[in-house]
Amino acid sequence: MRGIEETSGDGSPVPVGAGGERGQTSRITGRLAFTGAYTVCALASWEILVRGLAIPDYLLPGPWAVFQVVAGRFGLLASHAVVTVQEIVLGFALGAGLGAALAVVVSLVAALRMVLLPTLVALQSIPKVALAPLMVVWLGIGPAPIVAMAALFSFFPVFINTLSGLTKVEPAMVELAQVLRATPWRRFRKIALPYSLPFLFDGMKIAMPLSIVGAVVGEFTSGGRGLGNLILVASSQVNTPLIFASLVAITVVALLLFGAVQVLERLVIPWSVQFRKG
Amino acid sequence: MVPVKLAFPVAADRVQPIIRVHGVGKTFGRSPDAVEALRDVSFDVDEGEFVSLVGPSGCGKSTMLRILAGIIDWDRGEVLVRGEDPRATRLPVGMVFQAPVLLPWRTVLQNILLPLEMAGINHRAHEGRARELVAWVGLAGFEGKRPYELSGGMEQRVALCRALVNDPVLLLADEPFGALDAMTRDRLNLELQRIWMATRKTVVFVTHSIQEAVFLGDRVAVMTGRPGRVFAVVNVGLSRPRELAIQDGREFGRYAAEVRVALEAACAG
Repeated sequence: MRGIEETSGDGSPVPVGAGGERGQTSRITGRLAFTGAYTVCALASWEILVRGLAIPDYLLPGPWAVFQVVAGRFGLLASHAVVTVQEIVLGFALGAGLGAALAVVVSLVAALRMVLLPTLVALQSIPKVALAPLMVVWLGIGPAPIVAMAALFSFFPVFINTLSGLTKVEPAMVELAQVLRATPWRRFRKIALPYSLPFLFDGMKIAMPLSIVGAVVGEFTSGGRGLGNLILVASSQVNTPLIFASLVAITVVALLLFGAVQVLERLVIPWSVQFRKG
Repeated sequence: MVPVKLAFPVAADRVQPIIRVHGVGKTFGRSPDAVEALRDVSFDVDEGEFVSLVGPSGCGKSTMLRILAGIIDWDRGEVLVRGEDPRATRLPVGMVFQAPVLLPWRTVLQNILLPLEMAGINHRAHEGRARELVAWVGLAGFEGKRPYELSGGMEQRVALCRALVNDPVLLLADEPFGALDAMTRDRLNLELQRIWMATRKTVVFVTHSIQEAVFLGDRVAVMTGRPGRVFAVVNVGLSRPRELAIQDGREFGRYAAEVRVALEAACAG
């Protein structure tokens, strides 16, 4: 009875979208090799340029000089990085959590949507960088205004994405819920909420790099510790190699945090990535 | 073929029809953009009957089906399902759409159990029934798979299981196999017939395929173009179970021709 359209000759299911494991692996290896070769070439030309033109370190250090600082002052960089990561994670969790929660509330209460949405859009159009000094006035010196900046930057993308997931459930699914005579609460719980999860994660993937911007700007204005502050201190000493080393550290932090969101996405909604492929 | 005016006289001894549609009209939107989808539609469906609904596209077949499902209003006339207003009734209705509309985050089994969860019924107690249905449509072993791991035909079988899991009084199908290839469609038609013969659910099956309508239906109701109304009803006297091969036979051809003539007449006038 099992149809031939979905089974192979021996009755076993045909894997959907099977493209051959080995072909895919070799393609990935090839891409990695290309990226590696490209990176080495770029770094080498940078080094050659700096040495050939005898550019002084305080203007533009070569990759080797930067590497020496990264290796030599690893403890310093790491201790500042830990502070920055803590601020980002806390701020991101606050901002994204608030964004998602508010999206749920706004999607459930139509009246709120009319009031809150224009307000939030108006607030969103304020350049948030300009708010950093205000945060210092309100929250004092120290990690609080930095966390607030990270939260401020991550709130809106998560809010707007989650809201569009919650309110733009496929019409066919809405119709299905109607046929099943589901209560509004069950429709929300069993259809809109899981439906919006990929949107939530898309929002988080936009928000994470932004919250890093927020944290670094916060550190510029409010001092204390952290990589943003380290850059400020290094710049006042015209220690350009240390600035570059801090930038390397921030980039690593950014990549790791973005990767963490992606890992979380795979764990929470494993069906989604596959689903989009189809 | 006799174009019947469809208001079946209900004999005193006859069981009350499960579906009673009388003089139903439906207009979407307001003038001047109003679209009259249905005008004076009348038909009855008996308990356990399989009725196919054919008509040109845009004739309001789907609208009629959604009225029966209780998810849209109508403007004029009377619609009763087991004597109740379909919008207000709590009688479970199963519906299969043209797309499977499976929830991608749920496994096959969880998708099938959705109607029970939505009704607030303890679905764990019914898991056995869901598993039976899965096996019945030949998907045993796929209970834990997600929709993206299935083919179109398999997805539509899951949708069929989902429509049947809460033991509905009525199974409504809106061109459920229209998007599938011809071979898959044939096989699913056979399966639907088998399921129908075993459960004797009342089925209203919307299709634009004359073949499919005649093969499956006890009766084929032919609708006119917009505004839709039931133009004729063809009683299909083919014995069951019907094999695919009967479609090549003379008797089948006669019924199909009858439907086609009615359809052409319906479109013309």
